Amino acid sequence: MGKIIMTADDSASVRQMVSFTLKQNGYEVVEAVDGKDALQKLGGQKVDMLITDLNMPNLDGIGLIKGARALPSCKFIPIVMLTTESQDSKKQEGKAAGATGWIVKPFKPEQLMAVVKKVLG
Amino acid sequence: MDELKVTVAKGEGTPAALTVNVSGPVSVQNVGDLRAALLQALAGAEQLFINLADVTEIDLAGLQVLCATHRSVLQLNKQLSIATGDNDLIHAVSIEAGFQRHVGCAQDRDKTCFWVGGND
Amino acid sequence: MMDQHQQAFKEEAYELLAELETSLLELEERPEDEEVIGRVFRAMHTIKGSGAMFGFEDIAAFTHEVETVFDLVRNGKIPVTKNLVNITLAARDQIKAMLDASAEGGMVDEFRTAEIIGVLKGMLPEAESSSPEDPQPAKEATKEPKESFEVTYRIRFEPDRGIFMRGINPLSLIKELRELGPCRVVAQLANLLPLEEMDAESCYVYWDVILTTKQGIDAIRDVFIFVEDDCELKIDAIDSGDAFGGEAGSKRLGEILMERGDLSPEELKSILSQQKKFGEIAVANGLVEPEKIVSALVEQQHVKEVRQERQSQESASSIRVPAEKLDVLVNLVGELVTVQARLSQTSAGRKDAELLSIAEEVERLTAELRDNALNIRMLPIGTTFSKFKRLVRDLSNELGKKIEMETSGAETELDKTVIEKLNDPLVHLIRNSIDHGIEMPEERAAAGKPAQGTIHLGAVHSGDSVFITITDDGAGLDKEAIRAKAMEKGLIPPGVELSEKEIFAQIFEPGFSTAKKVSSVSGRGVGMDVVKRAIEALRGTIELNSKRGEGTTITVKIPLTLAIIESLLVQIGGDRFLLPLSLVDECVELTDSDIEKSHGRNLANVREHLVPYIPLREKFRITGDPPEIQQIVITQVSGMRVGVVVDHVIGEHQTVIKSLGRAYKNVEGISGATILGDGAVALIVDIPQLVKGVEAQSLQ
Repeated sequence: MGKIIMTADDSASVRQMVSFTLKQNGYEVVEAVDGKDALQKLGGQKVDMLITDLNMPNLDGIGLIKGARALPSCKFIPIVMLTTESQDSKKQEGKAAGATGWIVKPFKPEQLMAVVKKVLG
Repeated sequence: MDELKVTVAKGEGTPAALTVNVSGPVSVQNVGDLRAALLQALAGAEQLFINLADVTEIDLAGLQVLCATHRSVLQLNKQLSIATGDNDLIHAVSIEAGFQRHVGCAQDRDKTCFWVGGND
Repeated sequence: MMDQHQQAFKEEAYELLAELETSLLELEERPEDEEVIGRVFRAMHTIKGSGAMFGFEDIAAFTHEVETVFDLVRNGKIPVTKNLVNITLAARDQIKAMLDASAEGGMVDEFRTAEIIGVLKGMLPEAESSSPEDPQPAKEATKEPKESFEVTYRIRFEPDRGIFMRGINPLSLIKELRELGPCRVVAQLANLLPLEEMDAESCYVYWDVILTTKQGIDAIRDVFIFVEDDCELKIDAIDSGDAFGGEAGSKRLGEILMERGDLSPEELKSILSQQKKFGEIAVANGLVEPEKIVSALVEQQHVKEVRQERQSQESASSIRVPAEKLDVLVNLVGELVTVQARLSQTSAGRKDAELLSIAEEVERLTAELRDNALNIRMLPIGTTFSKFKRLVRDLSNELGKKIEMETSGAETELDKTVIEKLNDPLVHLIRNSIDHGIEMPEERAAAGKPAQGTIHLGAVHSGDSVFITITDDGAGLDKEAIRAKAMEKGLIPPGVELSEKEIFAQIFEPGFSTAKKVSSVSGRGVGMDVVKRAIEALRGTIELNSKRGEGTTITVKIPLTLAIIESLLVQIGGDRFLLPLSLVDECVELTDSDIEKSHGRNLANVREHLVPYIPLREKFRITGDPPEIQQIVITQVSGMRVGVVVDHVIGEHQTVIKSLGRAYKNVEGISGATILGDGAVALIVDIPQLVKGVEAQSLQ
């Protein structure tokens, strides 16, 4: 029974890369194209972890994190945000919303896996 | 995935004794339920047995609730015993978490701390 | 793989650029529309971020400039003007040109790029012209394994109460610390509230961790990277492994408590003034929680042990020697053994009692020297075992299986080079057991087995070989499936009945894989045939036993050392050859009448069992006639008995292996050579390879 990870990103290429890397490492992946899509899918499905971009149309990453934490099934799961911002403000905002950790873009598959392993324990 | 199950049973002969059987995974996801059940049991018993033999998973939040229960029991001058059967899990996790120790906390006057000296 | 991602990025970028054009035209009409501004910003942001990930650094850098401007537009610091729209459209076209160029290999007008950047920068207000958000280079996750002194650290980690709400499991952080080195963990429970007052979803525990590691303080900080801003984290080096700089005595309990801030200097003084046991007074006076004392005692104990360990290591007075020096020594010993053999042979022919006794003495000393020299390179195999434990843990977690790994015989010693070369094959075999052997917990439960599977890795020393066994209590091999698959692949010719062992041996054939689903774990395109080849390159053998539903045992037999082997010296015509003794079962005679009876099928009847044989004389095209009675040396290859026909068997021989020159590397059936006592060269026969070659021939 592989763990299920959701990747929410409006960039199809990032989504593809994240999803490819995770699947290669034995995880099941659920993809979402933006925050709204992600939240909808989270309502119907239990996932073990969420990886989300911050800049997304409809509902951005911060909004998604807040929304997800309000769901009982996602209250304690690891949520990792992908961020290009080197400024601390977004990171702080994300953490305050309940993000577990972050990965700074651009990143390599190994970096992604290192963080996934770290937060999934 | 199996779920946390908590059942309460009356102890034999002694009406003031209750046994709380816990099975399944105990984690921060569901530890609130466990706390509620323990609180209720504690209110209705002088002697509390907690049976953890069928616990399949436990995390820090779970360990905390066990420890907190012991504190309440000490404050209320009641009695508590915790059994794990042949389930090594609790012991293993408590070692990993650094809960195992040689002496109990300041409240542990009657030396009943669950984490002292292994699995008893 | 990367190309595929790059392609995906390009398609996406083209789409975004098309959208961007529309958005910009809309923006021209409704310059105040925040929704449109947001869209433009996001498009730039995505192109930049994804571009950098998939190797389009030029596009990322250029787009970054546009994004910077639009970040300010978004925040109302720059108004949308006709000029801005114009230059952004130009920038859009430039990004497209760059994408086209990367597809067709054309050139980009770099002057134009610089020009656009110039205009964009001119639009920034003074204070902002130094870009507020430099694209941060990807932090290299590689931690330099600094081979430095080990240092003992005291870590106090007090997480935020709300740490669970951020999806962080403090215990996994503690676990990460344990992976850095020997560690003592004391959870401090003083803040914990009674059940009725506590919030079950808050974290009340904090930890004192004493850790001895070579990785440095940064490695410790990295563990806490996601929590360091919202927790109390104090890391102090308390004892350094610097052999001479170490502090003299151990610290006193009071000192430790004071350093930690658990006790004030005044309190310390007042306690010290009473002449009793320190800990007792401190607790009795209510100055310190008993568990804090315990934690400080743990620190004292840990530092003491680490120091003792270090001292015992030092007093063992080992010397580090480069491996090459040992190789030279072993080679020299090899030469010596060869010369000694010549001396023994020569002296035996001289009938000189004095010379004979000297030769005997030299022989004894040489043997002792040889054993000692080879022994120096021996290492316990246990060092690799611990790596495998980690592998099992990680993989079983990934696959959602519950697997426990047991080991035995970790102290068994093997030549260093052999251990190194064994690593990859063993990893592969263990991966296979995890992936294909052990079932999912539900399946196991349904089959009445414990949910947790077990993989046992054992090493045993026997004669001049080491046996390594990998045993799992998984599903076992499906004999029929393997046979069917092997038939389908043409590995077994139709109509041939194989024994169970022979069928199982099929999984080591090239191009064989029965897994229905290729998972990330074992589906890496490397088959068991590669494992077999690697083992054979070490002159070892591999065998598999399995019982459906009960599990599989793989036995790898490896010679102790690569440099010197026991072998059987045989003769064909005027040439002598060596057969590795570890493969030899027995020797039987082969007469002309036996050959006639088998009608040229090269099969011998040994105690009512048919054994196929390979006439070496034919195989190596040695001229001349064989003697009337030849010898079959029967060997064990991949669980099969195969004979090798030679003229005479001379006897056992201590063989110092000389590798063949590069020109002879690919000669089939020969793995090396040695120099005999009389100075002649004898070739070492590679029996497994020989058998494989003959098999392949007969299949055609």
